[in-house]
Amino acid sequence: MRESGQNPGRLELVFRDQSEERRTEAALREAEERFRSFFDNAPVGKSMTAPDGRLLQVNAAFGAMLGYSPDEMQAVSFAAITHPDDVAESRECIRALLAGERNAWDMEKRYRAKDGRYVWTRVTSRLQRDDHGQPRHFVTHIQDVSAQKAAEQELLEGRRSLEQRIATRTAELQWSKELLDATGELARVGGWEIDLERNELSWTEAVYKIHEIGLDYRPTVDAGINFYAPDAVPVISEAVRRAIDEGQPFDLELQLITAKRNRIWVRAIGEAIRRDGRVVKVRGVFQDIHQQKLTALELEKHREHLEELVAQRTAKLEESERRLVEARDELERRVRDRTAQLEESNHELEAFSYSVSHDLRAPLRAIGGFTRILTDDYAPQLDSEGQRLCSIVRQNAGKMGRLIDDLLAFSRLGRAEMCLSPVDMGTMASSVFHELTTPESRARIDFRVGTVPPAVADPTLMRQVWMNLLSNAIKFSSKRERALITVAGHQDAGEIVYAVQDNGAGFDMQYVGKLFGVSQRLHNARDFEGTGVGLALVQRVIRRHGGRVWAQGETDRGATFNFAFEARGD
Amino acid sequence: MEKSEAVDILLVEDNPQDAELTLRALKKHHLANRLIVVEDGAEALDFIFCRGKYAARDVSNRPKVVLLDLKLPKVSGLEVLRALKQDERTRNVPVVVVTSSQEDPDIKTAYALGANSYVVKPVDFDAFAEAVSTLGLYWLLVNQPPR
Repeated sequence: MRESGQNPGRLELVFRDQSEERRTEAALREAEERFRSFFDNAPVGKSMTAPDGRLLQVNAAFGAMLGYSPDEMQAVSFAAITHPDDVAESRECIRALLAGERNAWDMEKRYRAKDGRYVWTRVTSRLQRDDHGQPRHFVTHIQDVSAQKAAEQELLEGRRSLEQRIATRTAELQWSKELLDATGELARVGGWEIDLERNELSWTEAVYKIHEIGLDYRPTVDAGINFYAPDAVPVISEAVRRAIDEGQPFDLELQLITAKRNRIWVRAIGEAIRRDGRVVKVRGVFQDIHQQKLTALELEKHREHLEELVAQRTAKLEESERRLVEARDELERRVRDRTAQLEESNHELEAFSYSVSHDLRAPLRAIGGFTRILTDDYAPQLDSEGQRLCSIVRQNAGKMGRLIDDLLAFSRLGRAEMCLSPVDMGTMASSVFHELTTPESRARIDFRVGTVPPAVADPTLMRQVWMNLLSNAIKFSSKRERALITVAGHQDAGEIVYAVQDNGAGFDMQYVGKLFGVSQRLHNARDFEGTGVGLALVQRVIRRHGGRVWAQGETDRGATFNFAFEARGD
Repeated sequence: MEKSEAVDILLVEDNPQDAELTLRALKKHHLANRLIVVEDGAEALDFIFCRGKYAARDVSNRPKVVLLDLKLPKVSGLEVLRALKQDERTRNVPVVVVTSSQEDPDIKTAYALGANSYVVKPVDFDAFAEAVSTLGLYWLLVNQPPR
């Protein structure tokens, strides 16, 4: 018997005698049971396959591995449970074993489970031959290695991910370094370190560049300090000493003389690194700030210049302002003086008006009064000529009284305070006309009022204007059989124009300039009574309202008197 | 005019022509029978308060009206007015301020001091006579003084 310990299956034995036979039979049965128990209960999958590939027998472990019950396992074919990719190798295994090229075949193989998933296994197959060397069947051990395979896969993936991360981080670091270098290059900033234990000074590339010295130069602490300008050497020496001895940080802007003898401004920042409370290193930043420094110095110069300019301008402005204030004070003083003068002359004018009205009127009253007494009491002694002369005296006294009253009114107008309000000019003109006329005179006068725009004016003063213009129109047209008096108004180029037109005596345009003067008369008193104050008063009132007056006329063809105000926006 | 006689009108007027014209206008209406004319403020005060040449007069014998010009020699019309209106005995005597001008700056003051009326003397004699007689008639005949 070959390989009896492991050999299952059919036994072909030659029996020599009964007892021997029985003994042998018992031994065989026992061996077979051991084998079956081992086969069935083995923790790994086992199968016996016929040389043609039929499954002869499988154990429970194999079925469980693929999710089949032992009965179901009897029905499945080799092809149904083999991964398509593994079919070729499986056939090669069978061929090689049958051909006797190898005793055993090891392979990794995927079985298809009942639920369709594939189970990674490690398979070892051997071919059992009979005593004649003919193939009997294959015995195959199937070990589930999917967990191991998964772990392997995970490991593989983990490694791949790690490698990827390392690659990424490396790239990042590279990029950072390049960025740092580029930044350092741009900012002309580098780093340095003094290792106190080894008494070594090391520089980064940028520091070499700033010193304008080759990378093969080996700096020492003393040599580094000696690069500074003579006046800066004590400063940096002291700073470095204090950093080493006392752990004091420093941040200095100093001048350095490079290997190429260029004098530049640098900024040196240093701080102490301690280990166990002891300063072991001093390191820091080193920066070329020459351009910034020059720019700052330049800026400072500009600023100082600007400040100087500002100071100059301010001084000039202050001077101008002082002069302005002086001028203003002077003006104010003059205004005060003028106001005082004006007030004084106003007072004088008032006193004068009073004096005129009082002192002139009393004698006039006496002249008129006593002439009247004369004509009353001595009528029999006076002939008609005497009566006529007395009458002339009285008339003139009365006329002078009116003249005084008009002059006083004119003088008052200049001083009276104006109180502006909207005035319906058409209505006012009509009302004044009625006041000045009697029903009899109105029958003779054709009085027309057109559409007259309203005005913003002092109503009392404006009434005086209409009073004078209309009484003039009535007076000068009194000798006409049919008098025509027209009041009109219109707005014209920002002005509101009013006009009073009559068909009366008119005037000669060559004297138009005298029309509005005080006591200027263009008609003799025999024809038209008047004091010569009315139009002067009109002009004064209109001018006080910011307006203007003018007149057109022709002798015996009537006259038109106009006045105009600036039209108000409101 | 006897000093003891009652006086209806006290005319205080420094201008003799105005005084004469006033007198004449009042006479026409028989209002000048008991009238006295004084020519300045000092004399007006003497009369009112019975001093100087009017010492014999009885102060309670008050005129019915005083026609007072403001522009007066010695003591001004306003001072006369003030004195008159401040004295208990004479406070109720009506005072008509008569002036030549409506420009008179003292008009306001006169009213403030208690003037009862204010008349501007017209230049025209007819108008003047009319004004004077009207005020004479009013104050002597129409007005009822307190008893």
